[in-house]
Amino acid sequence: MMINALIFVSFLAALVPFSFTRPEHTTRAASIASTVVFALSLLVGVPVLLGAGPVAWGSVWYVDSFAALLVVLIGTVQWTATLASRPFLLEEVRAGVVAKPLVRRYYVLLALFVLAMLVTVVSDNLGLMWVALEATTLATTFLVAFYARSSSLEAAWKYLILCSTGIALGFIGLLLASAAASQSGVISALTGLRWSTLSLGAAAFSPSMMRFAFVFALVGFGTKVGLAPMHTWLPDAHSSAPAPISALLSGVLLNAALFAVLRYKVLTDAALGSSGFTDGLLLAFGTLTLVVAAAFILTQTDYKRLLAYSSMEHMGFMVLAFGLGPVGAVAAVVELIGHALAKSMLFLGAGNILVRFHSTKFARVADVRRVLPFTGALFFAGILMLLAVPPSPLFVSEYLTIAAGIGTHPFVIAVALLAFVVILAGFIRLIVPFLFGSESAEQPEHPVVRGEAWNISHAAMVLHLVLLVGFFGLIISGAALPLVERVAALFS
Amino acid sequence: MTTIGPLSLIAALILASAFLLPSRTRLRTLVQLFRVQACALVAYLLWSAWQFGEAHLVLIAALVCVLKVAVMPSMLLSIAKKSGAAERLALYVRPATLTFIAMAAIGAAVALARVLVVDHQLFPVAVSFSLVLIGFELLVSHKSLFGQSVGFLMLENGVFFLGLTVAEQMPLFVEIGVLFDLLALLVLATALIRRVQETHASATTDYLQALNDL
Repeated sequence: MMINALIFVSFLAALVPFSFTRPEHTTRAASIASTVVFALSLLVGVPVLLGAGPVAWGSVWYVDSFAALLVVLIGTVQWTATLASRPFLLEEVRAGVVAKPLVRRYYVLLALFVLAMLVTVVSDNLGLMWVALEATTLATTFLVAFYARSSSLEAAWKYLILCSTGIALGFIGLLLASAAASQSGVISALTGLRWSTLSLGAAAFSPSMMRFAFVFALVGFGTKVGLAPMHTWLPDAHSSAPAPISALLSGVLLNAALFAVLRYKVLTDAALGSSGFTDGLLLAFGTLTLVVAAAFILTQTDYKRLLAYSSMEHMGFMVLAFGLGPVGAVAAVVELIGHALAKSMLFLGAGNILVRFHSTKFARVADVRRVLPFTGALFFAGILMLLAVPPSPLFVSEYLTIAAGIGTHPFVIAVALLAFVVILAGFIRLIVPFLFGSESAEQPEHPVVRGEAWNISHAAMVLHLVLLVGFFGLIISGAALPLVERVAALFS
Repeated sequence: MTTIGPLSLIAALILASAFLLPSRTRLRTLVQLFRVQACALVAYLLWSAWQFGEAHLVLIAALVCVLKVAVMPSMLLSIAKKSGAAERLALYVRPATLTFIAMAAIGAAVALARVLVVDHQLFPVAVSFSLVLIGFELLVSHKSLFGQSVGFLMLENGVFFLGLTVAEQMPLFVEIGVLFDLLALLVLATALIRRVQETHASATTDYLQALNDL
């Protein structure tokens, strides 16, 4: 029943903005609605994560530990992103960048986006999961094109066409899996699309059919994950959208798409009787994505694009880790949680920086730590978290991945380590003058005022930081390991 | 679902419409060919419904008829007319080359179908993969956003046709969800095309190349 309440309230949250005309009232009402969604996401996800077992509602919803983890992450990041949207949008409206009627559209689409992500991860039916994943693209296309600039239109077009094409290819994976299920005779056609049924009978599926199903699912849904070489939409879309939307796109949407890929991995591994085939593909795509992201991070000129390429890097790393067996799966789950919290925190900070400097170019931004003392300090902390500096949970995940792979796949780990060095060098080269440099290379278009008042976006960033450090502590002490292992066990 | 005479003929018509599409350079011709393909899909659905006694296929056929034969082509043509888009579509590759690529795509689709399915399903599955590959060819070969949209619609037709041939029975709510996702996508695509046309007085990718890291 709680899942129904979560989905229903998420839907109502999309209707709330229609009741208000003034941006101040719309933002407040949307914040309240997102708080309720957050509370319900905890009520749905936490009991499952603590070991209560999967929760189902008829043949529609099914929440296992991985889905529960994503429900909690989506609930948390949508909450902080919606709260941080208030100062961001009110400032954009005040500066004349955003027209007042667009504020309502923003919140409607934001709520629909969250609803689509939640349906993606709690659906038992793989067909409904597909429909919801495509709906995430549809709900966010106009958010990517929100500023109606030429570059936003370009980003939105690429996003719409590339992601929809990818998801259409993913549908072929779904059809082949469904055909394999019905041909096996174990599962009737009517229940053939239910994950909870498929996962029980997958051992009897045709191996050759499931190999193709997985390839289509990996390439198709992998496009939405941002895997190279299908990634070209990602840096454009994530850098063109308003910052709180970028936080959701990078922090949780990529994980929702990865969730779809991993569902097919489980089925394929069962059909083949081994994970060798899927692991090999995950290692190949993960390593390629990591390398491509590292190359572009080194040469970035735009801080939102830097964060977008960093998302690609972390998704590539997660995919690689999922290809490394049980220890890799544990590392990937830790990476998933850490990246979701750190990256969304950084995008919220990037929103504050954009509002003050009116530019996303490194050349036009400098001395952020002094101009925006709260944002600058928190942004710096977020960067350290992202670069896996302890007490970041990403340190644990990267250490575990190296440990898991160094003996079995030394070449892959060597390439990953080289990519990390390049990424670290790229971040240091770009972020040090950005945060601490006294003068920007180019004159800012608008005069930059120093100082800032504490607002809800800073509180949201602090919450993310506390969660990151707290999660690190819980892993090191061993308290969070059963939870992480429960999620990882689904894939190993 | 087995394929027999009339169904194979309809599948052949679907394949022929797909083969002709890449070499067309006028928007109206492209859209009308897509319409013919959608009509053939409707015929395939109705014949299958009658042949196998699957009543739900009639509802799907009605939806496909309304959305893919009537609404979607009309939306594309209407937006093109309202925004003053050029009737002749710009391509990256010459039409003759695209025809050869389409032939190769059909060959690749047959090879893929041979690996995947048994003999009686071979032809419709090969047609499905041909549609997907030729749709993809249209997507990457057209500079025009209208041409890319038709390419995507055809790719989706291929996926839809594959669903009819390999998946025994897709739940109705999924079929309807897929069709309405497609409709929503086209509404968004046409809205974006209109904005691009208004901004640049051209709906081609020539003006959508600012975001590039290379």
